[in-house]
Amino acid sequence: MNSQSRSIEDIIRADVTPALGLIGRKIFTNPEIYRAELDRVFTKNWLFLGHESQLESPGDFFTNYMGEDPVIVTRGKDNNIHGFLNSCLHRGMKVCRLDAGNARAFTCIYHGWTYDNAGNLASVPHEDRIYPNKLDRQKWSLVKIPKLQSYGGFIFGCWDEHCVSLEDYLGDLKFYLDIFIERALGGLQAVSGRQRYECDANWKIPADNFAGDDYHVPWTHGSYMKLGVVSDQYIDLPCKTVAFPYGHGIGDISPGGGVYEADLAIAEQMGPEVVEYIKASQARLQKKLSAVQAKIYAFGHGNIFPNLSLNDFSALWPVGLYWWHPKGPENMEVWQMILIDKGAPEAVNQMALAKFTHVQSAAGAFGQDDSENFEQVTQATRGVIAQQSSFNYQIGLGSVIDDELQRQLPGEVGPRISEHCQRNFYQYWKDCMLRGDQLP
Amino acid sequence: MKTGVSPELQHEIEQFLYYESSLLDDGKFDEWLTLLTADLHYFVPVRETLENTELGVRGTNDVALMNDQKESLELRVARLKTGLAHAETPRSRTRHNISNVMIEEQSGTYAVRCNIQVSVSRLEKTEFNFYGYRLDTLRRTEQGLKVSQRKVVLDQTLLPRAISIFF
Repeated sequence: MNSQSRSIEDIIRADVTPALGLIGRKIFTNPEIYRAELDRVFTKNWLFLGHESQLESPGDFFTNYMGEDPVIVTRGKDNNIHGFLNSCLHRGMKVCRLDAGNARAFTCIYHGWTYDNAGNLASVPHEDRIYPNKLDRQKWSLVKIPKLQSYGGFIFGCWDEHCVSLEDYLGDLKFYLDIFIERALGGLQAVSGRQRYECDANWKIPADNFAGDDYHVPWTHGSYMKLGVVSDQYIDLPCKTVAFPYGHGIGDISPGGGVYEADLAIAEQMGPEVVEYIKASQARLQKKLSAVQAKIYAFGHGNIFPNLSLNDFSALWPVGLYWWHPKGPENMEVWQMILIDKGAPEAVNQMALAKFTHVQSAAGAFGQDDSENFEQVTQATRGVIAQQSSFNYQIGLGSVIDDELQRQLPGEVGPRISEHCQRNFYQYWKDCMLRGDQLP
Repeated sequence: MKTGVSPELQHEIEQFLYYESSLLDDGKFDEWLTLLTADLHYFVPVRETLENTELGVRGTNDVALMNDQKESLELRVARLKTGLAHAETPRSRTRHNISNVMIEEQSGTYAVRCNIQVSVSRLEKTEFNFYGYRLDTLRRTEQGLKVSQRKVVLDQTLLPRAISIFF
């Protein structure tokens, strides 16, 4: 059949076959599939918006995107967190053009419609004179994000009123998220400033990378291995990758321990205050969580479906958060921010900032080299002949999962070099794209 | 900023800045490092659209794009030389343009402000542009002028690409 005449559902059904470890390339470049996924993926799933510590006082706000929809997230004068579409209901102008700040109200510069910081339409210039039939202000308040929930300070929103709860959406992933949420002695705090850069790549390519691709590290990040910044034993460490319902995946998990011991060794060179801090972090995990979680000690890296990636390599690193904001089938914006432990010694937080700047920042070694992959993959994927072959996601296909570990750890546990997390990502993506469509 | 150093000093410092940027464009990073003092601080802040912070320039305790000492810049250069720094292997073609150089003499050091515009062409891409201003402190040493502090304030809140070059 001529591909021009195939519906996008036909293409997805035929080309996206995670059970075979084969993912066709059209889903990374096709404009119709892109438009459909903005709806079927980005308005139907929970999307990460920001961290509660960015909204400390009533009136604090930040702006962000959900798919291509601009949104504002605020702490209202009622001290609750609110979220709404950043677009005036009168003529569509953005009512807020700042990245972050504090405001009692948002006044549209076009005609002066003013909304309070909970999104309610508060005043309309000349309202009484110009609307003889009366304007129903409640009806013309900013479009609210109907579902807004936090987990451990992480604020998520969803446009679908009938979605599962955030707790259920995260599911067993919470076992691992809790590790860095609970490890922070003073609670996690967002560091001011979000970095943003353009990357000419489809958003799914980095999301699948963070979901469980430990395989790329020695090659893509070979420069740091050659210099000894990353251990040359990296790929042989007994780490695990774990997949979850709703497309989430994580990697670099060390159920056998070792990350805490490595932190302690560095801390001993930094002084008694840092040693005490690292020991206290471990003790807190023992007390608040389980022995298994305390042994894992750090999250590693992962992707919360669809487009929030995160990492937490140890208590000496910040929690890194990365949005892959879709801007067209072959374009995205990378937005990133970090969280640090409010209770950590100054020396630890300075070290965490420095590590981020050198490794994960827009000018960091990993960020640069990952971007090169994401862009060139996209570029080499749009051609006619390129689109006739599928990407190979067959690593570990058919292998037996480690039963003993599987009993200890929630999620579907696989070895370090595996692509089961990526297969899981594309299976759930496919489910979203075909939901409501008749299956063959 | 007080202006009006002598034409000779203005000329000398401009020539130093042009030479320094030519080393970056020519990929002579080891030679470039010799123009930086051992106690160098090299800082590229994040820029955002904010109402009250001075034109949205974030500080050294906020998330920084780069916040380097001499040693960490040396590590960045060493990384480029591994042959495995893929974002710069093959190397991007860059053109550093420097203008509007204003100098203030401060007891043996020079505070220099200039505008900077860097065009980057990479692989088949025609152009990425980074632009902003730079605040340098130059010091006269036995080996000649050197940079002891550099703050690069980019005008872009959304960068055109991940940063794999020096400013």
